[in-house]
Parts: sequence; structure tokens; C-alpha cells
Amino acid sequence: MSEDLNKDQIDYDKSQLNKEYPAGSFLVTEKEVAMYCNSIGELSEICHDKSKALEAGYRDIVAPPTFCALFVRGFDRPDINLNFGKSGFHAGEAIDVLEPICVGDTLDASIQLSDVYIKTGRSGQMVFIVWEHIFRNQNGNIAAKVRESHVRRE
Amino acid sequence: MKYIEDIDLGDEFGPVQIEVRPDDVIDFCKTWIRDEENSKNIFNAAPTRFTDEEFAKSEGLPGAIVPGIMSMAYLARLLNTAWPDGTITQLDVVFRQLVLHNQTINLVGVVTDTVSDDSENYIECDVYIENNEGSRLVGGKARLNIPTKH
Amino acid sequence: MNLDLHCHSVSSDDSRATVEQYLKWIVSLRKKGYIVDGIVLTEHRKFDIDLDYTELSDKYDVLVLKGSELDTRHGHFLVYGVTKQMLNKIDFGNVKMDSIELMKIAKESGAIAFPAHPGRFGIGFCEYSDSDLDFAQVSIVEHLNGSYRSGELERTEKLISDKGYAGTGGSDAHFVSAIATCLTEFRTSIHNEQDLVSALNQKTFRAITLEETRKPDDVN
Repeated sequence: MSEDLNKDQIDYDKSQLNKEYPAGSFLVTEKEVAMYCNSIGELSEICHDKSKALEAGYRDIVAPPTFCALFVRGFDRPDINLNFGKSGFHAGEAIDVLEPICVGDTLDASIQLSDVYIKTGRSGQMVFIVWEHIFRNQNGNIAAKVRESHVRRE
Repeated sequence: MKYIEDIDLGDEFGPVQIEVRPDDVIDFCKTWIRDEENSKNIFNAAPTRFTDEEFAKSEGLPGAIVPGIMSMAYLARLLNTAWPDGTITQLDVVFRQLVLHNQTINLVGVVTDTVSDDSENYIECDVYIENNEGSRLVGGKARLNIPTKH
Repeated sequence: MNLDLHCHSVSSDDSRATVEQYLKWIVSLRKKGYIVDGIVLTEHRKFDIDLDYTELSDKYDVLVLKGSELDTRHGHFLVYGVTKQMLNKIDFGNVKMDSIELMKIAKESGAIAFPAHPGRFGIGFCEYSDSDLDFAQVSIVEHLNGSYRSGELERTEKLISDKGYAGTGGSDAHFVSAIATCLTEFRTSIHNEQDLVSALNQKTFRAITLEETRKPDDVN
């Protein structure tokens, strides 16, 4: 590994940048939404009670806004052949919620590599890999965008 | 109901205190279980850094940790609790330090911007997960649409 | 004059605050009795010489200056008074640059560079200050930093005490509500980057916390 490694010198498959891949189709079930809410202590009525959700104008029980991040967890990401570091961790997560996600929705997801860059932190040089995921609902509308940053350490 | 007109820059919300119970983390991870025909997203039943103390230690961690997306979900819960009539449209979170099982954490937030005009009414907030010493383990920025009186 | 000498806007990858949001926040701090006169944006590994914050600065009556925070092989360094000459000589994106060379080129270019958060584990100057390298050019370090973790301020203060360095203060804010938590109090007026470099070279400053800026009448 170069002593003077810059962004342009990071060894990975750069042809993968901004290339969009389909990542699967996901049905939002009541069971999952309930488990998710219970584990984090989410008490909002529209996330638990269908009648309250309908009363509030939603089509069914509403998933919490961060729910889509669960699906990202299971994506098969394209191998970018990054030649750096051995260990890794999750650095950040960002969600843009564009439409409510409700029980019964089917979400089609896509994934793309949006950035790879380097910086130094408490543990030395780190390469950040940023993935973007887009979720479209059954009406073809973008329901959410999820941006996930991962770090590889020396 | 809280209206945009009643909210000021610097308004604080929280704390919501949470004792991170290992069972809750494991339940959260179990929501990754998907029906086979539904997706490739099958829960990996093998121990992970999120579910098993010893496995986490074998990876050099001080103990089992809370998944980043669960920390993020906690912060969304804070926002939903503080602004029940608001709608979260953006949440952007940076994981700075580990959140461990059995740790007591405090969810706190502060309003950093309010925007109200003919086309939109929203607030922006900084949200944090702090430990009992006040160290910020996770930081985030959120935007919520808020109802207006007009 | 109280300036936050270390903060990051959305131009840095890990910040979530816009410059305008920082300035709005400072206006709200002033209403609470705190005295904050300006900020210096120190984006990670970059410097945009063409960026002009004059309009925003005038709108909120908050001085906005530009610097940079660079990754070097001897920890992170803050740079103030960046010139075109300096940009031509240094690759700001090089995360393994030689800090000794950086300080030398900065000085020759009319700028100044010194260690950021020296007590920070892994990327602080404390890790390198007792090496065989010649760090005679270092006479200032960042003393107060709003992002220190447990033990890091103590390491910084020991370094300052042992070496006799002068110390600045900066929030290292990445989020709006963290701006101006630590500042540098200058005895001279500062209107631009050249004034800042001059005041730093004269060492007419001290590191302070936001609480220390509060007007006596507003206490309680």
C-alpha cells in the first residue's frame, strides 16, 4: 500500500461507480413492522394500529421512517475488488423519506456505488465506501433513498 | 398539536433514556428474517457482533454492539415522540462511537432551523445518542415537516 | 474578539451543517448573551479559494473566514491564511503529507499551520511530538477542541505545559448545535485571513469555552 495514498490511487474497480443494479423486491409485512417497532420501543399509534393509521389517512399500518434500512442489510452488493484494509465498520446512514411506507407495500430496490474516498482517523488510514439505494413502491414512486457509508481500516 | 409557529431555534427535546437490552437487539436483528420467496435477505443465524458477546470480542470489540441502523431507529423514535404530528423526511446519522449492549443511553435533540413559507413548513434538528457521561456516540441531522396554523 | 477557529460545513464529508445554519445558531447564541464574533471554516483536506461568504457574513453580522484541516503523517493540522502559492505547492488531498514540510511551505506563503486536537488518540500530534523528528516550527497547538473524548484534553494540556506552546480553541463542529462550544479569544481585531495569521503569529490569544464569553450581566 502506498505511503502517499490519495483518492485517485485507491485500488478498486472504478467501473462500478454510479452503475445501478437491481437489488430485489420486498413486501412490507405487519409482522416485521411490529417486531421492528417493539424492539426499539416505537409507540406511535399509526405504526401499531391499522384503524388509527386509516383514520390518519394512511392506507395501512405505517412503517417507521427508518424501516427501509433493514432491507439494505441483506443486499448482495457488487464486488468492487477494493484492495485496502482487513476490518470494517458502518460509518453512517442517511434516509430520505419521500412517501410513507405501509404494510402491504411492495418495494423494488436498486443499488449503486456512489463514492470511494480516503481519510485518516484515530485508527489510521480509512477508505470510505458509499452505497446508495433507491426504493420504489408498487405505484412506481420513489418511497425512500438510503445512503450507507462503510469504512475499511488499515 | 405542535405547530411550526410555536417552535424556536434552540428548542430542546428529550432526553429519552434507554437501557439497551440484549434481547431487544436480538429481536431487532430478527426482523432481518425474510420469507425465502420474498428476497435473498435471509437472517444469518450464526452469531454476529450484534448478537453475541464472545463473537464480538473475537472481532476485537469490547462487547456485543448495537447495529447502526438500530441506533438510527432509536433517533427516529425520539423524533416521533417529540413531534408526533410531524413527518420525518430526512435523517442522516454518523456513527462516532460504539453503542454496547446493556449500556444506558440518552436520546436528545435540539431544533437548529425553522423554515416556514408559502410552499413548505419544516424544522431541522440535531439529534444525538449520548452515554451517561454526556459523550456523543451517534450524531444526526433530521428534517421534519410540521403542521402550520395557517 | 472571539472566533471559533475549527469547524466543518457540509463541504466536509462528515459534517451535516450548512454555513448559514451555523450563522443562524450564532445569532441565537448572541441573544442568550454569548459573545461569538466569527468562525473559520476548516474543511477536511480541501480549500476552495473562490468560495466567498461575504454575503452570508453581512446578512448575519458574523465574520466567516476560511482555513483547512489537513491529514498529515504526524496527525491533523489546521492551516490558516491559505494562498494560491501554497495551493500550488501542496496537495491538500494527500493524507500522508509531511507536516514539517507543510509548516515550512505555509510560513513561506504567508500562512500558518499547526497541530489540530493534539491529544486525540491516533491522529493527534502527541503521538509524534517526542519522536526524533524536528518539530521546532511548532509553537502553537489547538488547546480546546469541542470533540475531545475522555483523556484527550489532559494529553493536550500536558503537551502544552511540557513544551510551552500557545493554545487556540475551536469547536470542531460537524453539527449545527456544536458550533462555538470552544473558541479563541483575540486581543486584536480580525477582519480577514491575513489579520488572523498575524494575530496567531503574535500569539495574542487564548483558548476559551463558550461559557466564558457570556457577558457578566447575563450570568444567572
